[in-house]
Amino acid sequence: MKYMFKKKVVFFYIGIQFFITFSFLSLESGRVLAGQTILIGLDADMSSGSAQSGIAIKRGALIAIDEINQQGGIAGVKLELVVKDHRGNPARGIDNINEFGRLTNLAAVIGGLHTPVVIAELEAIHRNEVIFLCPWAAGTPIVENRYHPNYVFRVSVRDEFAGEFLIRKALERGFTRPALLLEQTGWGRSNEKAMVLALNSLKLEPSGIFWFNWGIKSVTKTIQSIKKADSDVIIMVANAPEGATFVKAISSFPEKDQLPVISHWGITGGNFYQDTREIIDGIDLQFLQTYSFSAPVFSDRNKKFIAQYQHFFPSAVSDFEIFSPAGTAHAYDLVHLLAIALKRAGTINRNAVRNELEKIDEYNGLIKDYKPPFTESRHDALTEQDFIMARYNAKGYIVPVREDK
Amino acid sequence: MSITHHKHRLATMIFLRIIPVAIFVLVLLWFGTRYFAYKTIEKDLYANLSAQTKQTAMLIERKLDNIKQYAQILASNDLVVNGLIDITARSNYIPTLFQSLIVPEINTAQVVLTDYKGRMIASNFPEQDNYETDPDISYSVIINKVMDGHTHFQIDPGLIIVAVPVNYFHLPEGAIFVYFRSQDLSTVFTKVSYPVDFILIKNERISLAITNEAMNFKVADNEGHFLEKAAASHDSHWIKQQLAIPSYTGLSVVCGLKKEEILQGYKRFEKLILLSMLLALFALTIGVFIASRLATNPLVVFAKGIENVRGTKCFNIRFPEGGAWEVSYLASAFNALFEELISITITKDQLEERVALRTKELEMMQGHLVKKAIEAGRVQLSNMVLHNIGNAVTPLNLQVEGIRENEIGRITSDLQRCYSDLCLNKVSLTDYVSRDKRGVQVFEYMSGLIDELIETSDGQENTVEKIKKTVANVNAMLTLQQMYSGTDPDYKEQTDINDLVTTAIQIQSPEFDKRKIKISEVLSDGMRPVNVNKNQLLQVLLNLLKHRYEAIGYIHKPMSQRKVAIQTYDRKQGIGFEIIDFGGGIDPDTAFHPVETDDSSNGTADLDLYYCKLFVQANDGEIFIDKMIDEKKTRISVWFNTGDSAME
Repeated sequence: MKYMFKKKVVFFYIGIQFFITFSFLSLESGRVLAGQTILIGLDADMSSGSAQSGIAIKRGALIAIDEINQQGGIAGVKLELVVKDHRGNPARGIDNINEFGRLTNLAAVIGGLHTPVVIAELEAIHRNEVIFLCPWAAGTPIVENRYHPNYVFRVSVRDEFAGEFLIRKALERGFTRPALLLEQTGWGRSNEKAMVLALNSLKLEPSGIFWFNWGIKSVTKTIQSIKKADSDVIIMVANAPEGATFVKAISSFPEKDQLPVISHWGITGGNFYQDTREIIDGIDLQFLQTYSFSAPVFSDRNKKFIAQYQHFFPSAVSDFEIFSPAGTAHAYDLVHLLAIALKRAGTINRNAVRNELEKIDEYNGLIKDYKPPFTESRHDALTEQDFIMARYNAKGYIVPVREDK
Repeated sequence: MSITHHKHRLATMIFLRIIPVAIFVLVLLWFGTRYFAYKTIEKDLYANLSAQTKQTAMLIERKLDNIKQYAQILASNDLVVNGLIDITARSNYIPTLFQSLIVPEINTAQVVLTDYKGRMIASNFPEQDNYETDPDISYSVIINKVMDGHTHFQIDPGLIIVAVPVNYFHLPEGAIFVYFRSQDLSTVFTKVSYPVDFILIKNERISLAITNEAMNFKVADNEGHFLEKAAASHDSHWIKQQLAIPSYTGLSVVCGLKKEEILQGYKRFEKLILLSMLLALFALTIGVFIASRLATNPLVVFAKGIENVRGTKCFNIRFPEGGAWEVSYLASAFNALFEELISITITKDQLEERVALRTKELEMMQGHLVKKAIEAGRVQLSNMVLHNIGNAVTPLNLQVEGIRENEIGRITSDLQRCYSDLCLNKVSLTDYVSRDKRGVQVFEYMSGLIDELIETSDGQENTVEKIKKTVANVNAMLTLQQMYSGTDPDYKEQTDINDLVTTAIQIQSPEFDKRKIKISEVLSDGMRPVNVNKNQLLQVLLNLLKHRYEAIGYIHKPMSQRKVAIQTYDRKQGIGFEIIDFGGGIDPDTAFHPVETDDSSNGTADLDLYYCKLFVQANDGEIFIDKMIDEKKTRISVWFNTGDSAME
């Protein structure tokens, strides 16, 4: 009798040990114990020249996380957003990725702006096997990187498409001698490639390619050079601080000498309008966007989202007041896509989740119906068809060009 | 005392007392000057050193600022900023850019671009040691400071670090480091020309010699210890001063000047002082010698000569004008002075003679004039008296003529005729005078004539009386004339009226008492004296008082009005007195007439008033009588003109 009791105890004890070990192993294999959260990292510019974009991305992610958590999370485990600020500095971004990589219950990292930062982070991303969800960084090499498996998934503009799109828009408006004004980074080089290719395909050449560095202060000579090159339009690839510097310089010229500007979306990532509000009305400026809350593709989804947005952020009284809309919308869709992958994977093992991302058949997102969003060979969810041209209206809201009244 | 003895005594005093004392004083002065001069020179030198140290600190600060500025300019270059952001840039142009960098004046300085954690991105000397690994550098502290936005400057043993943030959008995202060795810094500073010979840059960890002199102090067994000593303020070879370099916390510069140079300067100055002392002593000796020459012979001669002159009051003495020019000059001055004095004496004597002569003449003239004046007065007075006598005699003549015209004769004649008529009718006289018409008329006419005769007789008696009175007046005039123009000399003197009033009252008081009349006096203080004939004025006072007591006495005034008041005045217009009383008896219009024609009391008193007026006027005075009607008083005022404006 005593012997039987002791045997039971031993087996019970062993069972407990197995349970603990199994749980540990589950953790190791990506299962999350009850009580913990699944972390989603955000590595963005939260305080520097493009902080507005980081905040917009964060908001989109938070709204999506809240919706998912409201629905019970991922197998009962809540999602949580952890924010790190890279300030547009690749060195900080790399360190952030490394720190994120050490987090055991990290599912993925959302990253954006800028292309140079993400490009610098690629090595760390893949070394740490961190799923990198990119809502706002257009450089083609970000996704078209040399890494296999590729941990980067993007719902954002791809420069390969954006360059051609912008050139086409310029030609549609009758411009034939565009000057390419590009930042001296991977992003600028990425667009140079795309734009020159697009022009060449139409037997055209740019009037000139003009490079500038981050932090440039004096640009008058560059503008004068552009004019001397007999340009009829400027196609600008710049972020908010440098973009504002150029637009102010253009406005200092007589009206008849002011060239129109067709810009990439980088200027919407910071306080571009606030810095140029006094002169912007006099400048012919249009820029690339992927989404407009005031002219959505799916009004029901849009309405629901806006309601959520206004609930979380009451200062946005109208849909126009959702700043940097592309970042918000992209982040929102990306988090939902991640959630689907997490659910399908049943684990937070990042490799498993990564694989599931490629296998999502379809998802009806805010921006579009993704069918599918990603494939093994395509990690960019958006195409040129998703692009629109927009401008700032008199109140500083981003509106599609076709709605400008 | 002989001159020789005097000279000997003087020489002894000079050479045994004055000169030794002078030497002692000079020596004392020399030591004092030496001491204070040294202090002053040292003070000036420290002041100079202070200014030079300040200048040196500014030069060094400027050099260090140049290095800092270099780093800052580099950090703000957009190529460098872009290099932080763009990986491609880091591999493209950043290395080339940095490899071309040379810090001015510090060829061996390393310039490094790091990220926000200090990890090197690019450098101009990539092969060199990575200073990040230097264990002596608190690297994490430096990079944290720089990432806070501060520029960092650090001097460590062997290494100097300048670090500035590279900002994008006003936020530090990386850093530029400039490293160089201490000897490189010395090289920078040695190329500058400084106003001092000894310069050390030091903080709490290190002393860096900049100049050769400072570097020489490094030659020692224990370099650090020696440098510390060299930096101390007390040193046998240097005067040193330490000053903080502005805007570099903890960093200071020690500058020095060689004491030997100070001493050299001082020694030159000391020689100068010594030379001055010797010259002063020489000058003193010469001066004393010259003074002694002056103090012996010539001075004695001068002293004797002047004593002689003082005693005899004879200025005919002359000093010889030869010898030393000082003596000659002095003698010449004295001789000129004596001649002047002689001339003055002669003039003085002449003046005295003239004055005496003139005085005599004046005295004679004065006597003559006085006599003339008296004579003139007398003549005038006589003329007036004679005139008045004439006036007095004229009615007398009339009266005598009146008597002579014989009004009584006519009456007598008529009576004679009436008698004759009556005699013719003496037979029937009774019937004639009572019944006959003619007889009645003659009788009545005869009665009238008898009345007229009586009346005329009375009138003539009155006339005789008047004649008698007139004669008496004339007699009185002549008496008074004699009295008033008497033997007293007619001269004036400064007279105190208060005294005269007091005297007059004293003289007349018995008469006042006899008549039970109260007399009071009010004498003004500070009365000026009047230039009058004192006796005459006293007589005037006596007469006036007499006139008043007689006026009151004869009018029988009640006791309340039996008062006479006399008051003296000294006013701007004049000096005088007033007599006020309740007595009447005076007609102001006729009071001063010489002859009284009515039955007033006393012809002599009236004549006295006349003479009072005469004498008052003769003494430049005025006399007034007025009746104070409301108070029923009489006022007699006597004023003597002082030469101011006319009386009120």
